[in-house]
Amino acid sequence: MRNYRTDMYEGMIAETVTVPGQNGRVINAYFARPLGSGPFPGVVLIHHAPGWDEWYRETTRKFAHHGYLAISPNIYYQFGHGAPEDIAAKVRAAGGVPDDDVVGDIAESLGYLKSLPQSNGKVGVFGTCSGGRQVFLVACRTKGFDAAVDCWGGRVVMSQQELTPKYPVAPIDYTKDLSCPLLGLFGEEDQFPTPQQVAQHEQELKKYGKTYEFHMYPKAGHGFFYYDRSGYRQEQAVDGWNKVFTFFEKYLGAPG
Amino acid sequence: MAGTRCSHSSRNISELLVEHGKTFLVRLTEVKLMCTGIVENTRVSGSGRGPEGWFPLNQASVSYDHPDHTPSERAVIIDFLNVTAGPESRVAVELTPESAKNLVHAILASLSRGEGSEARARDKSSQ
Repeated sequence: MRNYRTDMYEGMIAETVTVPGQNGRVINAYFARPLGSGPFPGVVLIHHAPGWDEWYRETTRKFAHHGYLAISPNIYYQFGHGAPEDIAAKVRAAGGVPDDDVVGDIAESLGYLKSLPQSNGKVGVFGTCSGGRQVFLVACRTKGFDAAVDCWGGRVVMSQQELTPKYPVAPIDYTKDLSCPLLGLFGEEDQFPTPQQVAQHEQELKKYGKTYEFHMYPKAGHGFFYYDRSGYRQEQAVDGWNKVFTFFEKYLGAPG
Repeated sequence: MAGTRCSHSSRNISELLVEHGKTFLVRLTEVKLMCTGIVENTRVSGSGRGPEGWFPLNQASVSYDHPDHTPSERAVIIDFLNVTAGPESRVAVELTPESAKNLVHAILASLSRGEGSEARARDKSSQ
């Protein structure tokens, strides 16, 4: 993990850009990267159900600060523009974004990062909440990611009644296709997913001999990284972030 | 039940609806899933007041999910919407599950009192 020294040069650029999305459309994204020619590993961030919000912008910059080319595509782009929470409400009322659209958008962002001259050729994917679920889905349904981090993604395990045309297959049913190492961070007090669902997912990963690390934090529920919400758990969040950066460094190479 | 202020918070919403024997409040049009829980949409008629003033409402989206603001692990999130207007045409509330049950009871009690007094007035005028 990058150890900052007070005599180090540091600089980054962070801005909104447009990138390719599913089916040839163009979507917007927040892109943060260290200054310099690299080579840098990359991370695609899949934002959570509350929307393409400030926390995700900050987290995108956090990855850039740690030496990654980091991009957070707006997977709610097709729902129009407004305050992030208003767009999130619109998406919520519409029953969410189809899994196929998310997979398509994220695969395009993966290609975008890999095409950059300062890329080291390795790219990971990170997401929390619904974005955590989508991380697993994308890591199973696309090839090219080198590491995946699912933070408390709910509904990886889904009942038949939960399946809809937008969510036609439970992500756990794609486990055999997982194409890269997976890190999962979960809270013991979370109900979405429950510890039992996480254990079920873990059994499936073992069954197919996948490379994974799951960590279940005591005294933590859903969203324990979110410093602006009541579920924030300082000790667990600090440890969790350390695990994220250690995992990415192991599989994506040394950050810039 | 008219005028009752006691809490029914430990009872579920279905019980409250059955108790009133009416279907006026919840007529579900769609049941969908989001990050963690259930989203139920129902058509509504009325008006909501947002930052730009009053606007017509045509949908209420009721979800059980992680709140944006309320310091609670889960909340009942109600978005009163005009789905044909822009995303800013929204009046949002997040309620703890217990207080959401209290709200359901209050709505039912209010309707019961209002509709009861109207019925009595009609009976009186027809005599």
